[in-house]
Amino acid sequence: MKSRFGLVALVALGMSLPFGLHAQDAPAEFKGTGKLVVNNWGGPIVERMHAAWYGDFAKATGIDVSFTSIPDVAKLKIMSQVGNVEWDVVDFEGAQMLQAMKNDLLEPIDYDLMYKLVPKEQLDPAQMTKYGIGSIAFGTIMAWNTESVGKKGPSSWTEFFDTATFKGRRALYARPKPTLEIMLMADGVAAKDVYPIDIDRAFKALEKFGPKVDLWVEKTSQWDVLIQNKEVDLMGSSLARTMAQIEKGEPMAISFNQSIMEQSYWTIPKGAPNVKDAQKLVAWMMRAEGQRASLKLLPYYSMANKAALDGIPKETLAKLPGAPENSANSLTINAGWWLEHDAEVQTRWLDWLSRR
Amino acid sequence: MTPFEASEPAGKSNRLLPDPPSVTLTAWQRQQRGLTVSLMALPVVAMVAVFVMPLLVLLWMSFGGGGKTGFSLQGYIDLAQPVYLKLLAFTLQLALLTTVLCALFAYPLAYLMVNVSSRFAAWMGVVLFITLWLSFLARTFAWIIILQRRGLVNNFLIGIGVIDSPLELVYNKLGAYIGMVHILLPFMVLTLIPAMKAIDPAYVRAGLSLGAGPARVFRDIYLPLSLPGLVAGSMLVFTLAFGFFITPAILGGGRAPTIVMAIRDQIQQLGNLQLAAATSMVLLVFCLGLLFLYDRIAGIDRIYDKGGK
Repeated sequence: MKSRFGLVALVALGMSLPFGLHAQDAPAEFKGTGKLVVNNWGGPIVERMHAAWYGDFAKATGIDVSFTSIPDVAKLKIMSQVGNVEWDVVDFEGAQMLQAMKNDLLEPIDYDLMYKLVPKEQLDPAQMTKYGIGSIAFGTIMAWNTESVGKKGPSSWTEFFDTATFKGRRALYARPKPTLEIMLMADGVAAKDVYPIDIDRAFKALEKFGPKVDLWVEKTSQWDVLIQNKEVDLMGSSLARTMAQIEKGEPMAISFNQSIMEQSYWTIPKGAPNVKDAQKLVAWMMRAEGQRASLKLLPYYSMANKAALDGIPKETLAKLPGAPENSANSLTINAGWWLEHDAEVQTRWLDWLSRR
Repeated sequence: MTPFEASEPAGKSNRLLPDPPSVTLTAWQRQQRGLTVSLMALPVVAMVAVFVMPLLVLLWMSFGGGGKTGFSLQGYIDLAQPVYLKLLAFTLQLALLTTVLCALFAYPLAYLMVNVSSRFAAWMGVVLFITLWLSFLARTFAWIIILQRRGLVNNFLIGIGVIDSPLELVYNKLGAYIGMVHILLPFMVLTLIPAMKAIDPAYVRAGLSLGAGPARVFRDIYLPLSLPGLVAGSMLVFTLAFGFFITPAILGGGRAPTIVMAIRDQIQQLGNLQLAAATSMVLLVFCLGLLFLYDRIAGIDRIYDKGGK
């Protein structure tokens, strides 16, 4: 039971905070008796983080929470077709949420209920949509090995592909998103001008820069292995994975300049077994305390409650992608654009990949 | 798969079912028939529910069933794009070469396991089974540790001075092949063993005592008798390799894209179930075509033969 561990961690954290967490203090309308199944991205780290985030929800409300993985729109579509939706809360990526919305698979978020627990002004309006509220934003950043590349690494994607200045092997995700964004920025497009993506220009840039990539990465878990074994020297890698390796002592450095953030959302599937309690959990997760606890555990993400950053030490804040100085020149994935152009881009991407 | 059922030779009398009664059934025959029917009911229902139904649903989906647009050939029309044909061609090549390599490695291995002392063979069997039990993903990552630039192989070769700079053993097509062959090898060995065990050593001895050399005995006696196992193993490995995804995706480092990756994207990224179903149907047709080819060359019913008959 990972949630138990999380609870212990949370209690410990709670005691260290000036405004401690009070157990058993859920308002009456948050009480319940049901069971919730939360579909997240899985893995021990994610579950620990989520457990800290939910905090004492189960204790305070009487509603049980269990986990499953991995969020998948096609699966939800089929579950909904046969009338047997198994998930109550799903952590969808932006484009996934839009796809689910297009198929009419989601329940609107009950913001009135949420405001009873969380002050409206704490929440980031940019992360609030009708059918989902920001869970985390995860980042893809430039990272390099300080022993082989040096202390000073590339500060833009254009420099990232400058093989004369920065010698070494390079790795990127084997996916068009966010590779097309990276290619455009490498080609000199400013972060704010990337959307709408000029697909032809992006693929032209891919012809130019793509061959400089030695290794295309399929799974996020590969970054750990690649970093630990020094298989590559420069990478456009997962912020969370890279930071975790740096904390373990790997000689790596990162740059937040032109970093790419992708927003995920908490959503509630239409026809979920326990929509009412699911609304309660989603509201509960927006509390600053829980988000802060989970940030302290894994300070690599951006959160919907701005107050979560209060009381976070400066050195931790410097690592957070949501911190003002870090997000100044970052790019947020435009999920709407991807939903519209995914099919076309995917075909061209596979075509490019299979020609090599 | 249905062809296996269909390949049951029609002429042979089935031992479970009594011959057609000439006059009346005896009580015992009636009882036997009742037992057969009741015993068969569950497997038949299970076959239909587990294999036939999903296949029909997939076929229905590939023509737009369950979608918004209604019946259409769009899934198949989309598939005719050159990129899918290219991916299909590469996947076929990957699966065929993997099958051939597996056969080449598995044959001597299985021969050894059948012919050495049973204790040693049991040990080899245990090793083989252990690799089967470990997860694909774990074994895939294990290969990375072995093959990468600072991996075991490269460190060893550099250490003894054979090479100066590391060989590119992984994150390319070579890496994909190594991983695939390793993961699928046990399937070939395990199908070869029973076929080889069933070969009566007397045939080999007879061939030798009649003056044929070992090579000739192998070519004219042993190989043909072990062919059913080789055919069954090849079909199993080919079918598995054709649908393989995660190992070539990781070990290939983006240089071994397979058609299954396209199916994955069609489902997860694009939500295009019709295209994904159509792609799956085309893969199925390819596998059936291969089965047909095998039938013409080797005879599929030989899979059910005991070697040495």
